[in-house]
Amino acid sequence: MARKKSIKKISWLNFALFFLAMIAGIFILQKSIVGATCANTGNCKESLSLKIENGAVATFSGQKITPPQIDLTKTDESRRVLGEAVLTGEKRIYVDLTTQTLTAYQGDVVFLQTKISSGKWFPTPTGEFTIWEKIRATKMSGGQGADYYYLPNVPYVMFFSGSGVAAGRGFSLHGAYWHNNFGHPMSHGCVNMRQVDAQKLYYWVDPSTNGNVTLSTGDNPGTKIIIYGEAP
Amino acid sequence: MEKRPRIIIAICLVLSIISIGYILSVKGKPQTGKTGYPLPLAIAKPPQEISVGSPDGNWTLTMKEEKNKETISYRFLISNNDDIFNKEIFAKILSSTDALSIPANTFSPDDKYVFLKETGLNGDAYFVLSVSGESISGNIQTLDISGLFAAKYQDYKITDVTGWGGVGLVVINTDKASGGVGPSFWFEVPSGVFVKLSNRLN
Repeated sequence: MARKKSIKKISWLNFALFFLAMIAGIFILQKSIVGATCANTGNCKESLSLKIENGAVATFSGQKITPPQIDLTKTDESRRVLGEAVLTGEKRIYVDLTTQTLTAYQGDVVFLQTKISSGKWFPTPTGEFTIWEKIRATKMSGGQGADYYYLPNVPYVMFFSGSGVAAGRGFSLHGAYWHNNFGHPMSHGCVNMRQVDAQKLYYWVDPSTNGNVTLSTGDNPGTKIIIYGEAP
Repeated sequence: MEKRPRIIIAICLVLSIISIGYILSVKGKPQTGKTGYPLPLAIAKPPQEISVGSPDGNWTLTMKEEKNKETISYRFLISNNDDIFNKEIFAKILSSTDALSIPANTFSPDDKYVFLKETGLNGDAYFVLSVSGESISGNIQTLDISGLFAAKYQDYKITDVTGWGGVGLVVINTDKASGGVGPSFWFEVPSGVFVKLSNRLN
């Protein structure tokens, strides 16, 4: 009888432990995916899809800005030219937050070196990442009060994930038309680039561009990005 | 009668030696001015050009620099990608101790304005120009950020003007006049208003 009782106790204990583990698991999952802070918007998914709003007015630092007009039927001239360039070797992108510099290598050759703006109001994550999606343009918004921003037609967006940063959080390299203070932190977590540099990088990085939205796949994997240092 | 020609010949020889020696000594010496210092050789230097593009790739600002004896002439030209628009928007002659330069983030995000840096013995000065070459406001051709700031804020001094934080907002970093790091400011073009920021934009 006593043995039966102790077996019952153990099974109840196991059940309780299993139940607690389930709750803890759900909580962690909710925190890391659903409740995690997005790079830009209140709703993380908003900026992850192609969105063109020609004619919309952007807001940044309390100022109204006219975003660049985007015509998806037009082919970028530089895309054709870059396609002809012959570079071989593995592609890697290094972002040095201390010097606010991005350097893109193919093999041992520097493809691009330029000043960027990393996170000012929210830190840019450090670690090793992979580009998982490329979008020709999207909308980014967020902030409150004087920090409110609404930015349609953000060009050449290259989303990255890895090092504990889920894809859905919306961290990316992209062009920025609303400021020209590169070399100094100015973003909400993303890596801001001059539009000309973002365009050049966009058509160079993998996954190789296939339309206005390109997802990385096993056959078309994304370029590695290494982000390191400490923003000033 | 025999002695006379000999004496004449001897005098001629001595005079010739002295003349040749004098000519050689003058040729070998560097030319001197009134101060006694060697005069610099006037070497014509070709004009130098530096260009900075706008972040959207639509415009280029070019600085042409020509060094003269004691001055440097600067000319600033703006051109668009198609080379349809090419216009001189600013020119200035400075003493050779001073210099003008184009900062990397010179273009405003809407390509309406550019800012330039003047380095001199009295420190650095920054000013804003209109890309169209027209006046910024009324009859104002250039907005002297440094002069306006010094007149308004005696407690801070400008350490750097880094770029544009928004369409018409120049980013200014300062130090406290009493020592230590000061706040950042916006300089709003064309109103000429300074806005002190709570965050420093390093």
